[in-house]
Amino acid sequence: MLKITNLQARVEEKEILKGINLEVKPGEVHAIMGPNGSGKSTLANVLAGREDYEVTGGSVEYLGQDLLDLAAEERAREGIFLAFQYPVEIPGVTTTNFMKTALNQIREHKGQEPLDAVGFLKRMKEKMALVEIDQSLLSRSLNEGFSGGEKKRNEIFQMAMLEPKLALLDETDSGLDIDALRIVANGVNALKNKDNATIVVTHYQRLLDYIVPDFVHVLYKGRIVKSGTKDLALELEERGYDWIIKDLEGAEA
Amino acid sequence: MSTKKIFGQELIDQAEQYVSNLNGNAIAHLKDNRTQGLAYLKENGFPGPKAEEYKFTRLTKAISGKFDFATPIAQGDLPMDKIADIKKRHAGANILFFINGVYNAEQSEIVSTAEELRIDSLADRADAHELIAENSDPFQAQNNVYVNSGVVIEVPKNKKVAQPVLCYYISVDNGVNYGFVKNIYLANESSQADFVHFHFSEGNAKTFVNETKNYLVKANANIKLYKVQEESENAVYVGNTNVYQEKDSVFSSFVFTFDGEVVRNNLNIRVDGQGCESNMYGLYLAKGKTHIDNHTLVDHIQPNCNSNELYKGIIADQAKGVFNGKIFVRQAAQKTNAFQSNGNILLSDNATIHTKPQLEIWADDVKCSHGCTTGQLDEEAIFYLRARGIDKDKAKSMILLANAGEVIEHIGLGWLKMEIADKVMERLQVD
Repeated sequence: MLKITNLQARVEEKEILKGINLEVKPGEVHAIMGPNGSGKSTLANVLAGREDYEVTGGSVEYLGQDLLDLAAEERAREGIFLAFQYPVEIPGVTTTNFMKTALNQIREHKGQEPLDAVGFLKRMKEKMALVEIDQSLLSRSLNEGFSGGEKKRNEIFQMAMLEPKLALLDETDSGLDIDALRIVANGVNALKNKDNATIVVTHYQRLLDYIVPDFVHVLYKGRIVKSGTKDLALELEERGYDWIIKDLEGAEA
Repeated sequence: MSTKKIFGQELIDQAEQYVSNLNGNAIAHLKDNRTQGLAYLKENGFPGPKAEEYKFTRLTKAISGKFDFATPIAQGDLPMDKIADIKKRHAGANILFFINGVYNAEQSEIVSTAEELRIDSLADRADAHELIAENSDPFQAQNNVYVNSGVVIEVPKNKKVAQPVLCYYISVDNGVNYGFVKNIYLANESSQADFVHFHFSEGNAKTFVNETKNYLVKANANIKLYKVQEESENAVYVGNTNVYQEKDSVFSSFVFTFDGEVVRNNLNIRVDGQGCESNMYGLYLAKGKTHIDNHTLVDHIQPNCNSNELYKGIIADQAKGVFNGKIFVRQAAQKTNAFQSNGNILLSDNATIHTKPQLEIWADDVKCSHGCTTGQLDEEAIFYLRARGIDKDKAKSMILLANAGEVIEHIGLGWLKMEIADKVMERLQVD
């Protein structure tokens, strides 16, 4: 589904990704972990098409297409979804209206008719239940005055509405209490099937108790320096990142 | 002997010439207003380049030497097609027409009964001169010199005018290309009415309008004023809206400005009674070389009153916006709540906004706040929308429309709300 080869990217003059290699198949959950500043969020944002980052080398193949060739909105229409670390507040645009516009633009792209009001409401109701989000929240301006937990739940609600093929969760767990975390994770798990994939970017192992990854990768200084199963995450929780860094530097020396 | 430099001498000479050209052919009971207006202009002149209230809006320059202000005003030929269109569009409403500032009773249509709405020509109201604002602004003074046409619209006590009162001000070059108009709105105790003013130009000719609206809002009355401005790119407009509120009254003003060469709106609200509410909303969308200036003043004189102000601007190309919001809270006006906000989005590197909140507070037990923001379109917000599959242009227009929507949502008349939303969407190219 996704094949990243030697991906390099920078913001302004600073090199952040220095050669990422990663392959994700349908049905898989990958966790990207690593210390602060290692490039985790950058990777998620580059894949989603944020223009602040300049890709300087490498390639990304997504469902047989050159992903880097597509604009952010085209990537979304092709099934990529970024759950934002910091969801943006947009006064005057309700979540409902936002989702209606987004869904219909995606449907138009696929040559489908716009969803009628009844169909849209039905879908809304169904997905609202999934993330235990209230109707009143969705009638308010997008994310404006939402708590941290409400913002993250709204992200997963949007994900549920758009049913992406590849979801990128950028530090979705940061700042959440356990209850909110459980709701968010349940939502993600409920959306999982054999045809879609998830990349979870996180700083904390805790999230992986709820969203169980098939693979865990450690990102350090812009490269994936270690990959393993979910046991690697537990080991990281236990021992921190230092031992990996030490191993790495030992190997280089 | 004053050594003060007088600006706009040519305009003052023309005004003097105009008064003598009237030759008695003028509303007699407004004679004192003319005389006093002229005296004010001779004493103070028109605003020069450094005049504090007009330093960003060079109105004196915009009109000097461009109009034959000595000639008595006539309405000229009527744009009959336009008038017919308007009547058709608003069938069932009260419609008043002012062509180049001259009231046309014959074309106007009044559907409300005399019991709920009384309309007289200024000439027929001998008390009109008492209702005319003082000469505290040079253009107000100029208006007082020239005004020879206008109406007094009165809503009797305890009456609600069921149909809105629409005033159409049409600028047209039909041999005459300028106008001065003054209308007076008398809302008696516990009355209620909606006034909608449409200001626009027919064709693209150079025109000038100097217009005054005086609102007397008596105890417990509730008045809404909507002003929609779509002048041509060669039209210069200056308007003074003077509002006087008595106790327990509610006054709401909405100003929507879409076009014009130079547009200056002065809104002055004097709140002289307890328990009043004053709302001031504004939305200006400027493009090309349009210059839009809104100066507002709310003067809290008595305690226990609220005022709310929200002005928003979207400025493109080389257009300019000016916002100045004065809030005065006098010493006696304890327990005043006064809020003000002005937000601007600049769509190009050459677009400009000058924004200035000006709070002067003498009372000590009040809640007042103000805030102004100016920025470009929020790139982060655009990316957020794009990341959900919405294309870039649509994302931009959604954000702009949402911004404008914060003002539009307060419009009380459903049909007008839709009309304004349509105009804004058309301008912002949202489908």
